[in-house]
Amino acid sequence: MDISAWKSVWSLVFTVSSIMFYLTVAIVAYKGAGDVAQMIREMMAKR
Amino acid sequence: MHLHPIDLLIVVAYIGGTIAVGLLARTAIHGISDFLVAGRALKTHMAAATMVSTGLGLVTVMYMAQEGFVNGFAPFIVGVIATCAHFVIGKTGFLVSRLRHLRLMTIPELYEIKYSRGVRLLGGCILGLAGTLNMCLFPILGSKFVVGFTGMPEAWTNPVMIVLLVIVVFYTLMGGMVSVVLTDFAQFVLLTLGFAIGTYCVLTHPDLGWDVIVASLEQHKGADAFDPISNISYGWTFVFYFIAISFIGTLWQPEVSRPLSSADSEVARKIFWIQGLTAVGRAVIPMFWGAAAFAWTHLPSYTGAYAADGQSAVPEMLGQILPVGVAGLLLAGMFAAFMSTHDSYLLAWSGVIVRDVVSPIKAMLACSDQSRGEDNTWGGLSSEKEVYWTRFCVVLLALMLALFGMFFINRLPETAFKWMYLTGTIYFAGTVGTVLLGLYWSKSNAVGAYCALILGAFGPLNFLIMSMVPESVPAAILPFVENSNLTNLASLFLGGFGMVVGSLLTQKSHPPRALSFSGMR
Repeated sequence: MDISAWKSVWSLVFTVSSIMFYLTVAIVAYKGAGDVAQMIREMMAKR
Repeated sequence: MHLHPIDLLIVVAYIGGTIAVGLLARTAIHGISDFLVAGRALKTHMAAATMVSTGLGLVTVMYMAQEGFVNGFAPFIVGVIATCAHFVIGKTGFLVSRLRHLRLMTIPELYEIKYSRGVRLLGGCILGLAGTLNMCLFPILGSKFVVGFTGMPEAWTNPVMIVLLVIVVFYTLMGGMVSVVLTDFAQFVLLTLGFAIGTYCVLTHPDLGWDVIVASLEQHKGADAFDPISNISYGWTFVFYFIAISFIGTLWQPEVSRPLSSADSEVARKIFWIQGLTAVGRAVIPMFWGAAAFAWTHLPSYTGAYAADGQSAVPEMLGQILPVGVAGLLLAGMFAAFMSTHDSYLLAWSGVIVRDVVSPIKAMLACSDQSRGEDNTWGGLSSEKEVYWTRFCVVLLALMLALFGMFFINRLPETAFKWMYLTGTIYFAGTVGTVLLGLYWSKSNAVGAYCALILGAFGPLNFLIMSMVPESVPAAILPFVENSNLTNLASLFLGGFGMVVGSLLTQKSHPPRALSFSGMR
């Protein structure tokens, strides 16, 4: 592949990977927040 | 120092909150399984958050950024391969489902179940050595980030490293894996915000932006900045090695401890699927920052001190282009990332040293049974003693890391990224035989395991020693010392080869032990 083709590939990889990364983190953080809250509640109860 | 008081306030508030959580987590620790794998109670999203966080430490950002600084966009291929490997593992449960089903805490425990206590001891020693060497760069790179980002004098790098280590050791000693999980979650959110805003600032800065960065890379580095095959640091040897290591990398103790901490095998698989969605971004975003820092340091207006230092140029650039408040947020996120990786790794390696080296030696001296007790111990140290010695090892390791950072950082044979994979291969190469073939090939036995561990570790250790005395290297093995790619790939092959040959030759004298996976989901 020539340089211009690699540039296009990496531009696409950067865009897609950023979208995947931020979207996944947002969803996981939203769903995982409940689990974290529950873990802290249980620790407080033991205390 | 050019950090605004508001930014400092954000960082101090984060550190205070973290220490409070560490103290709170202390109440949840009742034995070694609470301490090392959080009682195996992690649910999918929490486990995924904590696993992504561990893989996204400050050191990861630093060595990925250095790779982008040195090699441009070519190393983006690393992220693409890692994501594909995670998807395959998430879909098939390759390695992780079987490991979780066996209810292990560390990989060398598998060696005792499948092979013998002696194999576990040797495997524990090799894993402990590889892990400690691998981690040696973490504190000093973290300190370099803080110093570069805040604009502190370079001479403060070592004192800052010691302060950071003291905070993280205190935190880890308090709550074990429970603390780790809670910090990881905070880091997961904070660092992502920092990533998003930092990348936005780089892309929209009047002196930077995508086109300027690409043009600078092309002008100064040419095709090597974009083509991973023609770039001499990568090439096909590296690509093949990295495909293999992306699968075997699952067995890295700090990484595998999350699936092992999960509620069941199904959760363990889901974690990898979710991590696959983030793996390419975790590599590509810091590499992009590194490439941006390269362009930044080659601007005619650049007056900084790090034009040739890929490790310090990124924090210097970020410290100068981020607005007030955002800088504090990113620094808190990076500090969280520093803590998250350090507490995970300190805990993982200390756990390995105590459970897989110290405890087996004690068990061997006492001639105790090779079976797991109800308290998850193996006839050596008691659960309480294991927690005690694990904490002791955390402190000892932190001391070693500080010494390494102060005296060895400028003697690395290659980039920090290559150091991570070279030292990791000391362990990974053996696991090709001991774990991969041990789980999926019924003829694998203890003799094969010894051969796999010894042959696998030989290549990377040879590279480390030879690269310190390059003038004494014989011409015949020069290709294995000039670049670690060939050594790493050959070592993975040797690890598998050792197991196959060793096992096949000794099937009668050392009959293989069978593992049961009935009822596995």
